[in-house]
Amino acid sequence: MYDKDALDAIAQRKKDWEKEFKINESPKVTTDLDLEVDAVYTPADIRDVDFLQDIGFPGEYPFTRGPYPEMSRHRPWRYALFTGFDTPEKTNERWKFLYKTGQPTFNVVYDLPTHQGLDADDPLAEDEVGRLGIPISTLRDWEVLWDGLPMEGVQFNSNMETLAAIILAFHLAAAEKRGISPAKLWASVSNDPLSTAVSKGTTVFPIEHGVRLATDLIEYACRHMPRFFPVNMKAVNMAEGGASPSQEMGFVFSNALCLIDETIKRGIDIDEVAPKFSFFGCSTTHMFEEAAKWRAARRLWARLMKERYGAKKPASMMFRFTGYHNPLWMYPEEPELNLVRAALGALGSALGGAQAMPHPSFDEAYAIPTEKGQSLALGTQQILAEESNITKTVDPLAGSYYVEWLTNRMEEAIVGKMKEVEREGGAIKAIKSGFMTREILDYFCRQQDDIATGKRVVVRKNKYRLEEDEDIESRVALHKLDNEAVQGHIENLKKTKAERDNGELRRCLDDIRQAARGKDNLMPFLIRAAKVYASIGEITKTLKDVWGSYRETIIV
Amino acid sequence: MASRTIRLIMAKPGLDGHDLGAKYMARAFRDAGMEVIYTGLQQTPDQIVTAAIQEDVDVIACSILSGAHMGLMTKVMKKLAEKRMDDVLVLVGGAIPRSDIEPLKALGIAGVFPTASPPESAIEFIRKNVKRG
Repeated sequence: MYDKDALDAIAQRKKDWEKEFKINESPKVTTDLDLEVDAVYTPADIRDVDFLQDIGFPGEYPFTRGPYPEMSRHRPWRYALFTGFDTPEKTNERWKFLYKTGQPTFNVVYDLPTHQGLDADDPLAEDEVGRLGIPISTLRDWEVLWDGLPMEGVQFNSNMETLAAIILAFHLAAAEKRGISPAKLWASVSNDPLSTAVSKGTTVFPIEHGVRLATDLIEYACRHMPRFFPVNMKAVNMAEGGASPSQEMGFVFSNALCLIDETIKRGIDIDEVAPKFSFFGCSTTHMFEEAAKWRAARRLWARLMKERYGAKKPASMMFRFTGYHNPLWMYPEEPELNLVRAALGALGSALGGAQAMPHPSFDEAYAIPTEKGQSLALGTQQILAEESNITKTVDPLAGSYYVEWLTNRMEEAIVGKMKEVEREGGAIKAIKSGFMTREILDYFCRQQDDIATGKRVVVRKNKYRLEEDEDIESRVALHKLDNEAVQGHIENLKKTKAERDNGELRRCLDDIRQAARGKDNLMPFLIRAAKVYASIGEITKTLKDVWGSYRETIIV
Repeated sequence: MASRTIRLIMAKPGLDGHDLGAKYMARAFRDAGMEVIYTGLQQTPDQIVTAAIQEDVDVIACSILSGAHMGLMTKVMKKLAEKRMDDVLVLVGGAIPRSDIEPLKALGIAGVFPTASPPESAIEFIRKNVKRG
């Protein structure tokens, strides 16, 4: 963009300027990944960047600027606040509230028992049903969730990791009852048993079996569900688990390639599977670093798909993502300030070119969101997307000397992490050995130490603290579990289990057991079981009988 | 006022998978000279008490971020009483609302440390209140 002489002159002037203004005598300034940040950036700092090769145009290789030509110029990114609590009935109500408040999508999170394949009436589920998400035990619960709501024509995202195949079976069974074919379903599901084994622990089965189940779902979707995204890789789990930007992206890419490799082994072409992958990660208040991270991720993914996998279709090379302000970096002190933090995180996702965004509630450190918290969260996004004008042009930060420099550094760091995983023997080995978990934990502990010493500022926590001991709980109306509703839900479940065709159910579970022992795709068996109201607990136990349970590699 | 090394078990009761706080605190306790055993995720109250007995600990520290602390800790304290382990110091940390601190103490829990309490406060508390040694 500049000729060599001009760049040399600029580089020289930068050195002279730094000397003249004694920049080198002032303290070092660093950002994420311990990158030392200069006082100013110039064209000379990105002299090796080739506009057409490295930056280019949105909607075409290397997709640095975005997967689509016009991105959010005419339509905001997908507002995707997820919710789930107490019972399917309550969650259905909140879905309707969010829809009315301007979120034209449905997004769900599950409670811990459901994630672990435990029914609401399981003794191990006691105290935990409906607390952090929706309890889904049978198809009946799924039907209640969707009561009065369209299953086609509206985008739906489901947060389920390892047990995604069971949830999809419920969804397909419910859709079939409404006469909706699988081909019409416009939806996505996490289906990532790997990232959850690194952080969050909803791994359920030994990793190889979780991967087999996930691949069964991917294969089924490739063959029968053209509008369905069978994988939404959970980088978010690792980010919420304390990961750095390069760990988050480097490890999730390693995990994604593992699932892609497994799918290709089944004879599915890269150009059939890669377009079906998307990613769900986090942004923080470090908006330039986040924008750079997302741009680097897009360019790197495109290059990986093209050069390592020989992908030919542009859709195979598009990194599409859901961006979410990381709740890990939200705090209990004067929690209203988290509105600001989450807004900055959303800004980082927006400037990074997100396709969808959930949004945490300001009181995240205390409880799951109330209606009010979600209204404020959704409103934050709506303001960003529709009042700020930041979407009027695509990738507005492109060409910023700093952001292009930062994008390059992020790409190098992500590649570095992927190489480390390769040295460990690939994603599965790096997870089983505890390598990924330990790396993330070490990074998180360093961040916490920096917060404890004040090196990393957290307003109101380690700097500008309030004198009075605030009683947040009397000021902010927090979400509370509706115990009565949950008990009612458990009674309903017992009724469902008593009233179904338990003979047919046992036959379906036997067939699942048999299929789990072999190599058949489990999806048809899961769908049949779903239709006779087999529960997530019964199906999971059947699979565990064959596969065993996940055993954590304990890393402290 | 224990003069020998304090033995502590850091436990994750219930289904909650958030283990960062537990691990960060475990490391802090270890750096403060305690012998720390970490149980890993998804421990039942029975498993925790059994491990505490096997490891002959002075302190049981439970980390719960799922909101299920009242039910889980009620079970833990009941099991400890059954096993007559009154000389073990029990601490709870995590997403604990202020309004639950007294009810937890009424169960016999000695110290409650809501999310992001500084490790020093827990370490000091343990050193001051540990019963054995």
